[in-house]
Amino acid sequence: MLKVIKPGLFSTVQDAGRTGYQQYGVIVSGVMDAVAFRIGNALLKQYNKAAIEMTLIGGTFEFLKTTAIVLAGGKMHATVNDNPVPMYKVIPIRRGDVLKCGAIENGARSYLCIAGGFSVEEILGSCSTYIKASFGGFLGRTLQVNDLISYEESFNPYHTYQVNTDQFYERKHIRLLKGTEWHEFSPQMQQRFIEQHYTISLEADRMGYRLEGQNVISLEKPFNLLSEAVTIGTIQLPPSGQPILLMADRQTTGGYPKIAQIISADLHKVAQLRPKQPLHFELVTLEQAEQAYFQLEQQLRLLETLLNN
Amino acid sequence: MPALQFKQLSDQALFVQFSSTINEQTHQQIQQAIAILQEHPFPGLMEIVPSYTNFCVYYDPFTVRKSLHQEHNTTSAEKVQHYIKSLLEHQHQEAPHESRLMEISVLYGGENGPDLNEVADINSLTPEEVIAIHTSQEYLVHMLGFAPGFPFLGGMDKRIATPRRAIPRIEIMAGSVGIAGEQTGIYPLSTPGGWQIIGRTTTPLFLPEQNPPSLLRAGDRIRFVAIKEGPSC
Repeated sequence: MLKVIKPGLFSTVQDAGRTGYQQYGVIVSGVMDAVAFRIGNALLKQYNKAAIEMTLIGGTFEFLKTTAIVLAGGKMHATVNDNPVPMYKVIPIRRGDVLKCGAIENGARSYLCIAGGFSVEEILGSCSTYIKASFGGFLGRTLQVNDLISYEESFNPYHTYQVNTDQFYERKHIRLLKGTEWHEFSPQMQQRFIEQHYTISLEADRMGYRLEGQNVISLEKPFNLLSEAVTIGTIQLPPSGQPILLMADRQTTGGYPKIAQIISADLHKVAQLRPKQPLHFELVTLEQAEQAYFQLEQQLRLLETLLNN
Repeated sequence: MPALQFKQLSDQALFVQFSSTINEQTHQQIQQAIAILQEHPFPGLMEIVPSYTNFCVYYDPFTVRKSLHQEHNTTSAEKVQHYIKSLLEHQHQEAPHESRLMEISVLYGGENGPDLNEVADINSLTPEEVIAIHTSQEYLVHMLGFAPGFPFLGGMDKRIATPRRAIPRIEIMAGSVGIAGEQTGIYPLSTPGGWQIIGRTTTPLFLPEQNPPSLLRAGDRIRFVAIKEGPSC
């Protein structure tokens, strides 16, 4: 068991998400930063095992069984029994050890990955928490003081490597594709959208981020869109003129015009943006988006293969 | 099949568009096309999400690139589009999708339907007439979305159409049956919302312990049946 001494600001159990049920209105959920989650698990020689996602401020946890863990994602100051521990490196844990995670200094989300994953009930093929429907993860909610979360005892040998993930987060601009309703906006509005500087507003959670820009983006004539599928990274423009960027806990469908779409290869960078942080866009082609995705996927698969041996 | 239009939602998701207006023929074509694609999936196909006039195909471009071999197409998006286009063009028109008829029991009015009287007043009807009209139609489930198991229904009688409430309710009880404009629907979970609530069903729509996790599927027809609160339910 893992005993929650302090839950942190907003901590949930997540895995890669619940796919295949969007046609029934069931959201995908899952980790916000899939790159950090994959590397964290890969260091433990495993794939898609449930981890704890912490947001902005990490938690304090006591381990009641021997195991090994990895801290992944945004860099935070963390200690085990008051001794500093590194990010992206396996930390051996003995019964009774206490892990203290501080504020996340570089990014917005960090992951506590554990050997074998957390043993929470799998619902519809996933361990991810779906807070609005109160199911999945740990009791379908955020972690609270004194929660006890199961995991299997593990004495497996572990890697001593530390992975440097800087290369995955280097690029300053967030790359976009034109959205499905891009052409409903005038050239002036399109240009304004791409060129103006946005910041992530305080209304930013797992469902999505409201973006703040100096000038509103509006349609020349009202455009009535029927509800249809939306996905992670979709940027919608509601009548307020301030964009909404959809993230892991987005609804399955939406009816606002979709002005742009963040490319898959940049979603993990967006997941690490904090409220009040600026956001710069760069428009790319579908071909470039696919190339960037293939490159990222190849790097991740290579890393997973290397660490699994 | 009508002329299909493709539009990329993302580098991993593609809309296959059948029409631009809501109608039953479009709905049937979408259901048929999905059935064909599910029979003949391509490597990398992840899931299919239907809506009023299109369906969205989620796929893994990495698997598509490795597995779908086409000479003239370079991107995975083009490969998927080409695959779907030729698959649907070469399929013969199948028999119309068999539609299930589901009955939804509803407790109308009172604390279960606090807006029933307002819906009646706005439309110069009695509450009994609103119930009679609401239960007389068969409604088509065009799609599910917004919340798990939430059906977007077509076919409501315009005589009971009512604008949304000016001030949304903080909480609408799970199972609430409401009207918003010319639409009617059922809330599977308790959420805030602006719909006019005329009744409530005790039939759960969202079934997370089951697979599929939803009582209703796109393509179903439903009929509302008025019931009275009984001691045995």
